[in-house]
Amino acid sequence: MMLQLGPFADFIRALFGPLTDFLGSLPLTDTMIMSLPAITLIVFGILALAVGLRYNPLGVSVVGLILAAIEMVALDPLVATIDTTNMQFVRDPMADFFIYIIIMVGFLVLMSSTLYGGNKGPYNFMLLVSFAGAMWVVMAVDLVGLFVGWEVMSTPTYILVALGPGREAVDGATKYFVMGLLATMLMIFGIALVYGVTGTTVISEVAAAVAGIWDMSATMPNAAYTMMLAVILFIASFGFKVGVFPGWQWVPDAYASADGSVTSYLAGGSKKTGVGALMRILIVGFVAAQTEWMFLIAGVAILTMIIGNVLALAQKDIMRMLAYSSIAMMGYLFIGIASAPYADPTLILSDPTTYNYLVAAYNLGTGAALFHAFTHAIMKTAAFILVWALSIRLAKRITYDDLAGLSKKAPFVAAAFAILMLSLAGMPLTVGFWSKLWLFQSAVFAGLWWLALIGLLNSVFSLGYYLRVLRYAYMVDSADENPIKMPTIPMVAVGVCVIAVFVLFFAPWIISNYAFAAVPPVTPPVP
Amino acid sequence: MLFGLPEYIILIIPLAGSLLVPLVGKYSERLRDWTPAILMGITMIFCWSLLPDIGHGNPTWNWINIPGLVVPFGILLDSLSVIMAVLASTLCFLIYVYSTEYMAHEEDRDRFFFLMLAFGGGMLTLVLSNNLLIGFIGWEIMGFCSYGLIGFWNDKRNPPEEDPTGYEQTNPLLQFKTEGAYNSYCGTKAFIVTRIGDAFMLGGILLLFVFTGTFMFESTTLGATELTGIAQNNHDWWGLMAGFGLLIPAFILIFMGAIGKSGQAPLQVWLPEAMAGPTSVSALIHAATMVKAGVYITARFLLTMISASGITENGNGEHAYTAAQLIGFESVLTFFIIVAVIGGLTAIMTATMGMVSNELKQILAFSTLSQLGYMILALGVGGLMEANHLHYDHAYLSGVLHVVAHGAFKALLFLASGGVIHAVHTKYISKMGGLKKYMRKTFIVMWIGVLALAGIPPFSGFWSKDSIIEYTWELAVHWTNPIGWILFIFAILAAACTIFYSLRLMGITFYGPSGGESHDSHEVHEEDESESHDEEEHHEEEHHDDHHQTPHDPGPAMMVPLYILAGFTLIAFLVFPFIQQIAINDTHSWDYILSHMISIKFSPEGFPPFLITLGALALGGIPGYWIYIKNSDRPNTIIGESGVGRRIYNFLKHRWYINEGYHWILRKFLRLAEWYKFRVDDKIIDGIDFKSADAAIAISTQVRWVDDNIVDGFAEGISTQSVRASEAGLSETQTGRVNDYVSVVIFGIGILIILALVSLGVI
Amino acid sequence: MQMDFAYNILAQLPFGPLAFMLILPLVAALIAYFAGGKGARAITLLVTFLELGLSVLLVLGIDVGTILSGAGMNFLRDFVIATIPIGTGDTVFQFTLGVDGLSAIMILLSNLVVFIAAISSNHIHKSEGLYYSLFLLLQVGLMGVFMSLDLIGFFIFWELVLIPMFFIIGRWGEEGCEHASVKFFIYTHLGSAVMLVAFFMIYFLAGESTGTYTFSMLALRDSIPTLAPMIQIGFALAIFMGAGVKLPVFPLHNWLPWAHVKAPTPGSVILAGILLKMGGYTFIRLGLWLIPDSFARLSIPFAALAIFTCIYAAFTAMAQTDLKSLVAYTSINHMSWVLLGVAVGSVGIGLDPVLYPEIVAASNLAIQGSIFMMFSHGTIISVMFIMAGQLKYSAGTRELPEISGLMEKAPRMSAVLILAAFAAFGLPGFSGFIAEALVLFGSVVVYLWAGIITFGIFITVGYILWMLNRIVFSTPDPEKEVTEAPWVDLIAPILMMIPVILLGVWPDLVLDFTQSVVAFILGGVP
Repeated sequence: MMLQLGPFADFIRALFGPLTDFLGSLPLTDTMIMSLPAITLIVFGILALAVGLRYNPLGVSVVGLILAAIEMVALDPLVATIDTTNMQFVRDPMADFFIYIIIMVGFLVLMSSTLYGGNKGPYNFMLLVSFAGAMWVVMAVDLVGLFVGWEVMSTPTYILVALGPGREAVDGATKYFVMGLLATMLMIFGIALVYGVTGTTVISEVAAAVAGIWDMSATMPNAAYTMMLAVILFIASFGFKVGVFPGWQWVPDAYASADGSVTSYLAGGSKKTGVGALMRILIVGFVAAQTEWMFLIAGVAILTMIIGNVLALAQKDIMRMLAYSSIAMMGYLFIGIASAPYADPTLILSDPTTYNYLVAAYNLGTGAALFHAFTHAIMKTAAFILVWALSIRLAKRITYDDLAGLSKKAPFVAAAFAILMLSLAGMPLTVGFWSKLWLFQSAVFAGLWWLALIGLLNSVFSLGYYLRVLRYAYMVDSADENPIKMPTIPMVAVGVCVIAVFVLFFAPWIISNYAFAAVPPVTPPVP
Repeated sequence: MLFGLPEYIILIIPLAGSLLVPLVGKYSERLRDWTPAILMGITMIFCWSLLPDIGHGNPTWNWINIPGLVVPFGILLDSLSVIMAVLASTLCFLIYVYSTEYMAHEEDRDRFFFLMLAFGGGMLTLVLSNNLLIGFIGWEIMGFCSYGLIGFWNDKRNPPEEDPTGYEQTNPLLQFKTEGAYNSYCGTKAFIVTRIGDAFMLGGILLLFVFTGTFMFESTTLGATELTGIAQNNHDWWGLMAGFGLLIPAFILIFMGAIGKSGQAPLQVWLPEAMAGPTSVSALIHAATMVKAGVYITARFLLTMISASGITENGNGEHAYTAAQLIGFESVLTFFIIVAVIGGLTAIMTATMGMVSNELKQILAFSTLSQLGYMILALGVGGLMEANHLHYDHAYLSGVLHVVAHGAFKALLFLASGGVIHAVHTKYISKMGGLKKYMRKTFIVMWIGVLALAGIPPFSGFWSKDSIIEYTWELAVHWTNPIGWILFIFAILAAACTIFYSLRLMGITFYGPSGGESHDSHEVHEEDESESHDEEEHHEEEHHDDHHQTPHDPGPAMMVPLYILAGFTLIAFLVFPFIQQIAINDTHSWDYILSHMISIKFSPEGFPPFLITLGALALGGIPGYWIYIKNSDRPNTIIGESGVGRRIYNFLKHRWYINEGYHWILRKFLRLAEWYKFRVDDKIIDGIDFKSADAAIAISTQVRWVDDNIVDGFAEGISTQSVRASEAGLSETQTGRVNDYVSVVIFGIGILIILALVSLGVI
Repeated sequence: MQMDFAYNILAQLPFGPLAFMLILPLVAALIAYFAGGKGARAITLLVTFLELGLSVLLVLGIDVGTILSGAGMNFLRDFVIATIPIGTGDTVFQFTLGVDGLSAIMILLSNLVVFIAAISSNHIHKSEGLYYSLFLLLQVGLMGVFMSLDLIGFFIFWELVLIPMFFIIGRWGEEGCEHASVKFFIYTHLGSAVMLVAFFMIYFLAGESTGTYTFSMLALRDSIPTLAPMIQIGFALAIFMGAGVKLPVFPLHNWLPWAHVKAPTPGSVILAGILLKMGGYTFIRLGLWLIPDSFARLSIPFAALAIFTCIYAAFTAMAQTDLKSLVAYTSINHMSWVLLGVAVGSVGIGLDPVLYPEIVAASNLAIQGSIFMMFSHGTIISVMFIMAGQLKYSAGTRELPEISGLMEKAPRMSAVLILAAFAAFGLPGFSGFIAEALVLFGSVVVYLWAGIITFGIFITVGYILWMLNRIVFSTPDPEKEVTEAPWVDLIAPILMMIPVILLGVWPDLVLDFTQSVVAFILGGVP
């Protein structure tokens, strides 16, 4: 990938050249090389479980994560040489993009896990396994592989939620688990439908089949209906993990009850894997049907935004507020997916300008969605970590009243929180501005100006609760002025994110180039 | 020529100098008091030195110069402007000199002299500017200065003096706790009433600008560029506006400004109240500056219109004009009828009001109004004559002459009566009397002024006023329209009333028993002086008192101006021929004009009006003399306790109920717009403010209601609402019961399926 | 009247003068935050003063002569932020900075007002570090709005202004300021949201018609006229939503009294002094300059709305008892003149000056008048607000009924207040008069009925004099304690009165710089 961070990557590759050669010399199948980082994580997870019997295994998992990251970079040249036909898991640009998101979130989560007071061994094990599963999910180009990865990712998160403090953590976990089972069930049903109609589970082949069906949908409508049903089931099931309509209800319960680090992982990491999977299925698999599922996604986006914002406005508990706001955020993201039109290859000859225009709109929409996935990951992870650290310090759930006078008690925390809120609200000087801007722009570009308008009005609406945080932090004075001492490492994580939020406003290309390069190419499927 | 200085120095000196006044005040009180007099003296010399320049071009400089709007700053050097400038500057000079002594014991003289000087500067700006816009600026400066000066004594704590024969105490709107409140009320009233006129005038100016595209009166050259003026009828605005029928609206709008400023009916109400200020201010307003501004503008537009209509006049009085020019001019006939009728009406109406007023300066104010009426009448008559194929210029000239004459003798009267009031500490003539023993000099100059006012030959007033009547007669004779006769009758009756109240003024003030009443009114003073906390004001009152016991003539700084003015009033008829030569560039020699002036009274066409005038003077004069001077020592019993006499008296005393009329309309209007109690102590204009503002508040509160319930609902309302709702209703979406969640999911999938079917076009 | 020495100095600056002017306060903001206390104030004064000097140089240094190419923009420079590689219609997001006479004048105004506000912040003692850093951030946003020549950059700065203002109002304001700040934020953000969609629409449609997708105003200016009239009108209405909130115009004005009254004195000075001018500038730059035709179509409703706003605001102001809110409504009342000037000015755009000489001349007048009104109002209203704030300190209240006899008790204050008040209702000799006169002449020539607005003048004079009557010229109340303002508090207003009076007698001082721009606008899109 031709990119700004290229020199850095080259340096790492040069540094770990021996490692690359060593791995290359090993008798590994291509599939294993592809998913080597995930495997590493699993290995270190088990290691952490073992170490966790006596010591705090956090270091082990950090090492594992670092190793995985190094492999990601170092194996690029090797991966590029591999012929990826009929493979389950493939590291294509989009997968890489999401994997990097996951690794980044992973680091942040591990940093905030220093606050975790429970049983550390299982905790680290679960985290690392879940990371690995997430990687597999975004790498999967085959529905079955996707399903496997999905389970590997989800199952540990149920337990992680349950590991949270207090009784209600178990409640939240239970709800999450039951809903998760429902989602899985729907997913299997969807996969079955797809297989029944197309006779394959490889997404690219599915795409060809779908294109064929839609070409002659006049003659074979039933197939089309079935596929649409499958699409609906996929949206429902993956959307459940993403936390969009109709499967959003577990989100606040789980997020608010779980351990904060886990919450930040759920919000920053596993959400994104859901997005990645859904985008791969819809934009690669069902691209031919875009004109039909566009309305579904748009409807989901609108409902999600409204639900998220209205309910977020209703919250007093900051954690819950953030949970709902992240629901709303996914609504914005879906705008991007909805406005990635299908560039019908037959247009290349008949009407090239329209074709080029459609391709452009497709790139813009998808890229904006990817970019938003990234920015949302850093913003939300940091926000959750911050609130969690605060509530650990104050030993209570944080409500607005607890924020009163924060600017006096802990000026930098208040500033960081304010910046994150402004970024979520999409104000300038923060990267949130660009991601929202591009999403709405893509909507208009695809001709869905009404969608953009609704989105913008929602973002105005969302100011209601974002500004309330600022109000309490800066304008409401509290009785006691004694400063709060915040834990160092999690605050470092937050600080890094805040700085990133700033820097990425002035230089969004650092990420946006990756994001737009990660857009799956419009390969005209052969019917 | 101005000794080689640029002409605008004349405006700069007073306007910029007025800013110097407070600075000088820091160093020397006395020098500060004299600063205006000195500066205005210099200005006066400059103004006189303009006389030779008349008609030699109008110097111009750049002020605003942007594409689309070139506002050059030009000085207008035609006869009218220069005469007005000379008159204004001279009178201002005399009045300032007078003020140095008159105001010597007042507080806060910085403000006073600053405003006085600025006032003069404003007047000069108006009369000398060749540019309607800049003229309007001067016009406004005068408005503000009058506002400040009339209300100058706004900090007087003592309750206002009661008019023994007055009716104000019956009017709830006119009750004031302190004299200061009354004064500032008068100032505000004067300002607002004139502002009403100004608003119209601005509209007229703009309307004119739309067609003429220039603000210049006379065309002039700025460097190389040729600026055509309104009077030169550039791109035929005259014909254009006549075609649209917009001439009359435009001119009437502008004339409204004149009406407001020179207190013509129906806006005359402010002038009588404007007496609240110090006497020198009244003199300034009446004789020299403010009220003459309206006359000036009317005269200016008379000239402009005649020049713009393109009517040419050959030497021996015949007209050569084409039908096209005629059409335009005939169309403004109505305008001049309005002008003349308003003038005549004002003259007679205010004269009758003056006959019964009990306040020394107020009588003079009414006389001013009626004399102004004469001037406007003269101008209107001039226009009408022009439209009737006669020559306008002599009627116009008589108007100008009357401006000059009136300026002189009215300044004289005011300054003298100022001395009287200064001496006896009351403004009501019923509390005066028998002053001729104490104030000999004042008594004599006052007589001169009064005779001039009444129009007794050979005093200045006679020549100008009689010639106005004369030309009214000439118009009436030659004009088919009966209005001419009505105007003539107005003029005659006004003359009769004038002499009557002049004699009444003199009689009550100077003859008869010395008014002992002024003592008890003085005791009233004493008491609430002791009540008022302000120590030094107390002292000051005392200091007034010691020379109150025996009234005497004021000192030289106050008397010398009086002598000068009196002298002029006596020998005015020797000066008028010069003015005639200048004003309508009459080529005849001085002695010819003088002899003609006299002989015309006995010529066949001039004799009848002269005779009638004398009859009118007798009609008014004899009873006046009989009642007020001959039998001045016994109370007058002509007006019975009841019956017609008393009813007429009341009618006049209430100034034809016009003021009350306004109050009544106002109160009805307020009742109409009444939401809450009517605030009795509201001042008139404030009343309007409050009510309309209440309406505005009512509206804006409605708007704010919507605003608070929609937009704040956004920020706060919805949030709090939905917080409450979420505890009550929305929280049911978070029952935490999984089966609810699942059912919602199923339901949602149903929605998605429907959506899909829609997008597939099945339903 | 380009002056070489100024040009040379500016040309020396790194990143070009404009970017330098933007970066300087941004850096200073960080330093001020960490310096805190007196240091922050010192830094702020220094930087704002530097900026003022730079903007004076800018006004002198740019070439405002006849406009030949590039729409007469000086120091034109692009700073690419991101390029989105999406094949056709690659979107380039960049700040395009450039100034013409209009922008330079507005920048001068904003730096002037900010400097004055910085001086008059001497009563701020609560967490100064944060205050001054926000203050400088605000300055960045304000200047950026006037500099940026592409829609996205424009929007970024436009939004950037909100954040510091929100904090300044809410943190350092008076009783109930939180509510006011939230209200201000949401009102304006709502307007900008609609405006943003319009930006995208125009980007998309103009790109579709020409084939090149761009946000650059200079390019759009040529391509927009090819669009369908209805689209342009829609765009104009969206602009109206965005700018009308800021200006403000009648239905969108209610945030203003709240924000102005609750904000601390410097806050309301900046609000009234510049934030409202952003609205006016947007009307001219994005309206007359960018889409003249549609504005010409909407001329009559806009003019009518402006007149209504003027009179309505005048009446409402009359009813206020708090001096500060009275002044706030005064500024609504005055800014409606700007809209009137713009609405009228749009009529003459593109007309043939030979065929319709007086219409073109009148439009020219009206536009210049509205520009001049922005400048003069910016200066006058600052003084009014500073005096209102001062009254709070020296009389303990701003309620008109409770203050009396100011003339005797505090002559210095009263003098400044009287001057400012006279200037505010357009007494000849002050800059306000020139502005109102210019707009009025222009408007009356085009629409005779626009003369109704003189009624607005009448009321304005009425309530301002009435206000003076009640608090200044009234008999002092011995119980009430009123202390004279110290000179240090009067420095700022007295400094500010200088341009007011100077422009009153020498309007060309501003108009010379804007003439060519106005002429260019009137030339219409070639």
